[in-house]
Amino acid sequence: MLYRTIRCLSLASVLTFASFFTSCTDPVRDRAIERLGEEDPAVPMGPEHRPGQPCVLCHSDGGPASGQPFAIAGTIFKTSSADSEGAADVDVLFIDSNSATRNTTTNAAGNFYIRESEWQDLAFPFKTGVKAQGKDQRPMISTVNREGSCNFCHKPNPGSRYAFPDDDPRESVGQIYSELTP
Amino acid sequence: MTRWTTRLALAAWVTAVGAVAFGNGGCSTPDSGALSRVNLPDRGQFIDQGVSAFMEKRCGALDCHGQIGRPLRLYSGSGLRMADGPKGARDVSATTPAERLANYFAVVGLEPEDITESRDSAGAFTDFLLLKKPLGIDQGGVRHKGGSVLRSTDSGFDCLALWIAGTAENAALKAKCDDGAIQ
Repeated sequence: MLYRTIRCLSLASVLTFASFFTSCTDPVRDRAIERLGEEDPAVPMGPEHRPGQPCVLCHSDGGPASGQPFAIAGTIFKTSSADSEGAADVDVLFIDSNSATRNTTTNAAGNFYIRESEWQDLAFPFKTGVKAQGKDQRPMISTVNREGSCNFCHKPNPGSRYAFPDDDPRESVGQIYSELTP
Repeated sequence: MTRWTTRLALAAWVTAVGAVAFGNGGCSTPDSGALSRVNLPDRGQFIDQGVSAFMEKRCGALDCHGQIGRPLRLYSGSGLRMADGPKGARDVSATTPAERLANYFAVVGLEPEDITESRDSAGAFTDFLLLKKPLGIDQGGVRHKGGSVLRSTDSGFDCLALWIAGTAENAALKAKCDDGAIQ
């Protein structure tokens, strides 16, 4: 009888601990992800989805896309106009504080990413720059100190279909773009 | 009531009165007129000789101290703005004097007594957050969520240390801060 009771209590303890650890989430991140809304049904989930959104929010440990974690990711638009489309074939270059370098190129949606597996020892802060085809390289003025999602600071400009109405313009330096607005 | 009970009650009363008297004497209310003496680094140097500009660029990005919820909030033209621009759009002008003044108060308000001690000692005292945080633990500083962002040999570190110590002329300070901003 005593043996059965101990066994039941042990099982109950294990289940309690298991449910505690599996149900532990980050409410701040959960709210931030929820705010991003559903997928655009016209765009299949993949490298071209959700342009302008903070990619690493989901593509990191604990996020819903943690199976494909990114070290750095973002979006480059063709111009600074709110109705601009993404800019394809723009080179994006990075140099971290250990002087290690990586580069990548934007896809058709303007999205770019460096997988975590491609830069496991990325050391913040890092510097970056973009180079559109036939244009000079343009370095970013400041360093990136800790945020892997470029779109965290470079939110799509107000009025863009990718922008959110509650975006605070004081907290965004605007979308990254490869050409001056015509 | 027995004699012993009376004595016990009397002893309890004496103890209670004593405790109240001791408490009142030991826990006085704060003196509302008391002031702490502070000797703060130069405001003009911070705003005009590149200290704010250095911190805006190296510390004030939107993913770091350029966030509303973060301690040591820093405003800048390339980071968090104090106010919206025309028609609610982003203000794309350079960092304003009001923003630099707010940055100054954020920095000197971090640990005013320790900064005072450092300034009083012409920079000999360096055991405070403004100089230890940017070094991070691996450079001999303290834990910094942004990690180690300066070395003690960097011009940017000199920019902060010289400004607090008050031992540098404007031109020398500006040279250090400008160099630190581009490192």
